Amino acid sequence: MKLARRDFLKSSAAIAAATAVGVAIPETLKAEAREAEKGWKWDKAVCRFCGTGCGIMIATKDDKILAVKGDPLAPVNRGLNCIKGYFNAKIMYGADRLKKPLLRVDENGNFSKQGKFKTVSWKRAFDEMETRMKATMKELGPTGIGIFSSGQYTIMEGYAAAKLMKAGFRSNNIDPNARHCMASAVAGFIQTFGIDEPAGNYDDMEITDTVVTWGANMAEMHPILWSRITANKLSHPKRTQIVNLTTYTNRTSDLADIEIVFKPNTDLAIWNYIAHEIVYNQPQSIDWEFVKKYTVFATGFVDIGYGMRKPDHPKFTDKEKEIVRNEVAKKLSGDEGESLAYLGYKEGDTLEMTHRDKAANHWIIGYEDFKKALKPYNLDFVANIAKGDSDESIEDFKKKLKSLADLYIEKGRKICSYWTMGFNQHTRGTWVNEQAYMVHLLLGKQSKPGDGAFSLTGQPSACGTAREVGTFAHRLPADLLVANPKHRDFSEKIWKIPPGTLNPKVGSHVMKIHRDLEDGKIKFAWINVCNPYQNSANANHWIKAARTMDNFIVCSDAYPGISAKVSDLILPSSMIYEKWGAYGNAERRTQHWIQQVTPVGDSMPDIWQFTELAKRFKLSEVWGAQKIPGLEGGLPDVLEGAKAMGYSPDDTLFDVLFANEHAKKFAWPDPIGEGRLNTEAAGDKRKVIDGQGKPFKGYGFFLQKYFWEEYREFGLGHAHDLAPFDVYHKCRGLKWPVVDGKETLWRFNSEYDIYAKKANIGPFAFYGKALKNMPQGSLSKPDMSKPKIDLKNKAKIFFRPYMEAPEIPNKEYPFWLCTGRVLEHWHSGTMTMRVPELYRAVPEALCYMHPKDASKQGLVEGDLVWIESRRGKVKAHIETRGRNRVPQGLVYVPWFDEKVFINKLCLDATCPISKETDFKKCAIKITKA
Amino acid sequence: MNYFKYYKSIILICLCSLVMANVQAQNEWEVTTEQDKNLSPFMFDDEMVLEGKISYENSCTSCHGMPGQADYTPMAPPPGDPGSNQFQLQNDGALFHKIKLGRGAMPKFEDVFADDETWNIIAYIRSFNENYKQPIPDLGGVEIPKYDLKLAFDENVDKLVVKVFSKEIPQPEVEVSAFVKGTFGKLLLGKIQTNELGIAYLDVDPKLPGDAEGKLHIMVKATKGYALAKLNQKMKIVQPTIRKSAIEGRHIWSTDKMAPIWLKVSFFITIFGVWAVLFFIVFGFRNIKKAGREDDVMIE
Amino acid sequence: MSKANKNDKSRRKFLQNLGLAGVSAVGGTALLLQSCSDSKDSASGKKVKVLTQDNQLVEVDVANLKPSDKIKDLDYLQDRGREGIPGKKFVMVVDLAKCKNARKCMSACQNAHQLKPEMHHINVLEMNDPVRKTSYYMPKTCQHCDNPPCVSVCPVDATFKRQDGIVLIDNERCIGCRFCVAACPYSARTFNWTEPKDAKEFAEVTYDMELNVPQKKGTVTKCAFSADRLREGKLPYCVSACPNGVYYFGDSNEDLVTNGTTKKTVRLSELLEENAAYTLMPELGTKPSVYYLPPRQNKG
Repeated sequence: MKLARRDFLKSSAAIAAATAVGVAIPETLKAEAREAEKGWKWDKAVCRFCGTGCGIMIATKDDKILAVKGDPLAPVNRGLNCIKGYFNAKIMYGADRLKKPLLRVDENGNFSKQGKFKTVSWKRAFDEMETRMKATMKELGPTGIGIFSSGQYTIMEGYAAAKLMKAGFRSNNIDPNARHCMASAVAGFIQTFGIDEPAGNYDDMEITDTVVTWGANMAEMHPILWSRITANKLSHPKRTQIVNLTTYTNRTSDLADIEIVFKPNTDLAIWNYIAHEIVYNQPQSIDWEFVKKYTVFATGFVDIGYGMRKPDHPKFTDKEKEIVRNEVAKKLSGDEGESLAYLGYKEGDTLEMTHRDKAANHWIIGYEDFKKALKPYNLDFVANIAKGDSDESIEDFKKKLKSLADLYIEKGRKICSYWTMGFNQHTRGTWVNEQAYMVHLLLGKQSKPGDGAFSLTGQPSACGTAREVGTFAHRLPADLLVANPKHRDFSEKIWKIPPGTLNPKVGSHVMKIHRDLEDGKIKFAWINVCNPYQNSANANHWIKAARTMDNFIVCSDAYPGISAKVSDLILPSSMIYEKWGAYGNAERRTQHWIQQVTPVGDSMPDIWQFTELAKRFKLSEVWGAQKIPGLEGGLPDVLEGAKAMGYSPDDTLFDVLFANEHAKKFAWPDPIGEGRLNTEAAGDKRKVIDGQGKPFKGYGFFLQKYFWEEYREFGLGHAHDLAPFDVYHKCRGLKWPVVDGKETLWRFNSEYDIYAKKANIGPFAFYGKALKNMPQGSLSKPDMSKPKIDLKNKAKIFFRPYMEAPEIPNKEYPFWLCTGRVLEHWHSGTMTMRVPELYRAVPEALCYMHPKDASKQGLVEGDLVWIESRRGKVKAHIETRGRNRVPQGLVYVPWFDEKVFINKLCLDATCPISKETDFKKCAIKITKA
Repeated sequence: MNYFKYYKSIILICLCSLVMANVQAQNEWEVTTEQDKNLSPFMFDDEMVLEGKISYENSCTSCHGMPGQADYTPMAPPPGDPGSNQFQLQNDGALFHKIKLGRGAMPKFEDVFADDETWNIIAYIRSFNENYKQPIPDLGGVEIPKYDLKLAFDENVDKLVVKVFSKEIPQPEVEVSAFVKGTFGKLLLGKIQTNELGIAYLDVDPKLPGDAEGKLHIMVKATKGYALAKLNQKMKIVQPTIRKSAIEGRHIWSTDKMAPIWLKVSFFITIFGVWAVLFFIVFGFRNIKKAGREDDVMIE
Repeated sequence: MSKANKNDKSRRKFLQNLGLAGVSAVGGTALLLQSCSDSKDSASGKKVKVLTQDNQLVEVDVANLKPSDKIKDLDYLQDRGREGIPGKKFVMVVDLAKCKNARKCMSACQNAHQLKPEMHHINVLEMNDPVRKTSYYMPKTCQHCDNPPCVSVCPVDATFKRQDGIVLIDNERCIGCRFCVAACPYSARTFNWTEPKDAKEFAEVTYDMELNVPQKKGTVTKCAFSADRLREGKLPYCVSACPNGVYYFGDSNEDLVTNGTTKKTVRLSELLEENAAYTLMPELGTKPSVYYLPPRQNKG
């Protein structure tokens, strides 16, 4: 059977993929596939998309990627991929891939914010960046610059960015888009356990008896993990129970035994109901041995605001002020009157937000207080406030809640709770994360195979890069904090920089970088591997600030998304398989890959962009004394210290941070990369003209390995151990802590975790060190007269009350707006919308609406409507019968589509503790367009 | 038998007196003093007069004719001319009551006109009386507030923001109506009450064509009870539009001045060409003839 | 040679006559220009020679030369009529669902424009469907086409389209050839075969082409969208006269039209789109400026 060449390639790729999942293929086709695949080189790599972290195999020939299939040897997915994963190669070859740097210039070729984009050289691009950065730092100091970093950077890129920004420029204004994604989960971990990241791993999905998804549409968002859960369910249909708690019916509900549709924000109340059931009705289910030995009870302030700016801020419109005034004082509703009664409030009282900047404060309380606070959360109360579907009877809803509680309580039933954005993108996201641990810890169902609360990660390396490397405004690598002098000392020693270099004042988080740009406090921003102007709420403000105010915005990206279009300088960046890299997925598995192909056009890796920029800055320009607003005395001059360490003030940041003696020891070629491409180390065939105007021939040493090995030093011995660089290239990733070559499956469990075993206090040890010396107090406030308690090896069981969202529907804006994603598209669509198959599958974002709501307004399916909130409006087509069946009074709009720019409408209220924006709750109205 | 004759005349007399009584009754409008004192809750303005004119022309001209022209239909009793003194001397409240209840041939307009529509008609009738001064009720010392209006545009949601203050205090529940002024009339953007902060939001279609600078001529009226304030302002809220003349450019259907150049040139070339050919032929013949004659001479 | 002399002589005579004629023309114009007042309150001192009506050359002070109202008006009116109103493009929308053949539009128009009852600038036609025996009434004005066939055929540039879209006739230039009457596919134009109505009363009135009064025998006349009223910001005669709300008139540059009866202003684009508006005979490519809303019997 003769096939045309393209059919050949397609069929062989399909055959390879099919074989990987065990589908039988006739021998003739197999033979033809073998013919076509002559000359193909297969290599392992990691999927570009979600936090599942599937392994893939990539086939290259003649410096082009020809095929992608699931990696049968990868423990995460065992050869399966989801629809996005199969297009991991096609995302790199979209029609409008950025190939050359673009700068806005006027007719004379000078930079002008009103100018049109014109192609410039890399040298010109760096010249302009240098000029603008130096001018900004001269005017505003290190706090005048900011980097929008990413949970999709490779680990080495994130490390280089953090080092350059914190050690080089001494600025803490580097914060990732993971702030919008996992910040609440991180805060929940740190507050509860003292250390970040989940205890369990994906094997729990096969071992457990119960899977409860809370506000997480795993079927679409973590499809491979869902297929593992499906396998579990189908193999044990009676024993395995699946519960989907959600604000609208979705594909995850299709497999669920119980679907609970709840009103937005009432997840806080439902957890408290489960705790109430345990404490009041089934107190025998509490694992007292576990609780007494390994936990304490805690609580915090409730009058902490909603992370918005104060209503007197000049940039708010009058319409916005209607909601923003809740930031300083809120009138309590009937439901809140009951839930906050334990503090002496009642319905109609004005809650003054006095503890807005003490939101994270918490203290230890006794069990009696904990029990007292849970009193109002009986079944009647919670069912009445939480029922989300008006078509459902209250009796049915109550039955479901009771079944849910019973599943948790059932002795011997293993249960895992999973959540992602439904909990994290929440004005009380940290609270609801803590509540998940509250129930699991009370029952002793945590850190055991098949038992545990598991926070799913959204991005491919929010764990590996953003959290573990610490590309946050308040962090250093391996869970260290900029505010802690001991941590700074430690970091300065590893980085070989003089003491006092690092800035102790916490920088601006993502929303604050946007707000500072609007206030003129930041005048230079660099966007790396994210799309902050499409992914941030209340977008009208930030876009106006970027386009009309005096600032310079640089965007490093592969495709022209909204952020690139509002920027002043666009730098073409290499994509995932065009560079050496590593990602860390949701189960703490770090996976590496090797560069497969030469980058497209003149695009260069992000690491190269950092190093070339670093060449432009001398130590004397950045390490002198610096003024920092809010920091008394500012930053000291460390040039003397630098001289003592052997540096000269004329050394550049490149010499000191990136191309120092230690770095050059990592030679290239290295045996692990024999015969492989490495653009940063050796250049490539394109000989791109670099920042000095000369053809780039590589730095001559193995830069990526140097970064890895230096980064390792942070975590070794501190429960963040990583294996050496070479090891990862010989296996399909390892779950950290990797001690003596062995990965850790269940943390805090002495049987599986060496650090817990070392603590030697019993079968468990919550050895995280942060926030383990806490005051005691009552339910309403801490009592500083009592001594602080040392919580070594203990975790905290938090009590958190139910509170409403700051903006709820009213007569003028009668619908809830919930935003999210769809299976076929990733994030802001800059990559997946360029793949014709994915675009054809879902070409536009639809507004999912209940058919009764639609007909009440005379709308039918497919009608074009205006969706309008107090902050903006967009047009979209409505869908009344799609994959998401929403209850009455709520609409759902995915955010992948530039043409339906839904973030113009969302409210930039955040969890005051984690600073993560609540994208799931605001009030809108719908009118026919 | 005699009584029968008397019965007839008695019945006749009774009937007659009844009729007389009826006629008497019909001649009297029954307006109580309270109804007479009734006053319009709105100050009569041009808009009310215009609305009243439309209602009047649709419902009243058939009997009352046009005010001031005494061209009412002859009926018994005569409808009368609303512009006449006799009409104008009545109080507002009396007019209001009479329109509502009607009398005899005049129908009850209670169900046809809402209260404010009735006041519109009275405003219109009063517009024919130059000496009329609208009586304002005694508010018991309560001052009619003087409104200050401030206009802004929220471009995030394309809304006109109207703030109503009186002596720096925001005024809630004030009815605000906003219009865009056109050449012949004004387009109503919306009518809405201010909220508790004294702010009213009105949707503006950003696709409305503005002038060359993108400005729209906005007219806002704020009224509550007897208080009234108006504001006209040109605001830049839409895209600037360039007005093209209907006769821009060159076109075939217009005068010689505007005709396309290629048409004129080719026309002249053709005409000139044809004439040239004709002249060529004529001269050709002449030359032939000349040549013929010369030959003759030569031969001689 | 004598012939040449003779020619010379006659040439000189001719030139002399020409000169005289020229001077008298100038003089005549000057005469017409002055209202002959040797008023004492002149001052400039500059004198100019003018020819009086009885062939006397007199010197008059320049300050005493005053342009006569009569003629200045004509030139001024001509220029004004040719130029039009800048920045506007007038359109009319006719709602056939509302027309009940009241014909008030026709009488108002004929009253204003000195027209005999059989001469129509606007005509209300009954459109019949003989098979289904249904009919509706359609008022037809001049369509003020954007591609007017009448303008192309006029040999003397008497009819023209101006910058605000209105197609006008200048009866000072019209020679009565009636090419335009033949060219118009909508039969919008009529011809004054006889003396117009009330010709004597209007004899002294200065000709205003926007109003087209006084009418002249032997010229063509048609609807001009009441260009004189538009200048004052008022709606045309027919639009204001209609009692049933049939006509909307406005400026398409502003996208607003006003209804003549209710005086309500609406968005032109919305009105046309929501009611499936159409124009008459679009296949002819005349691009009319008058839109018709279909004659629906029920208001959905």
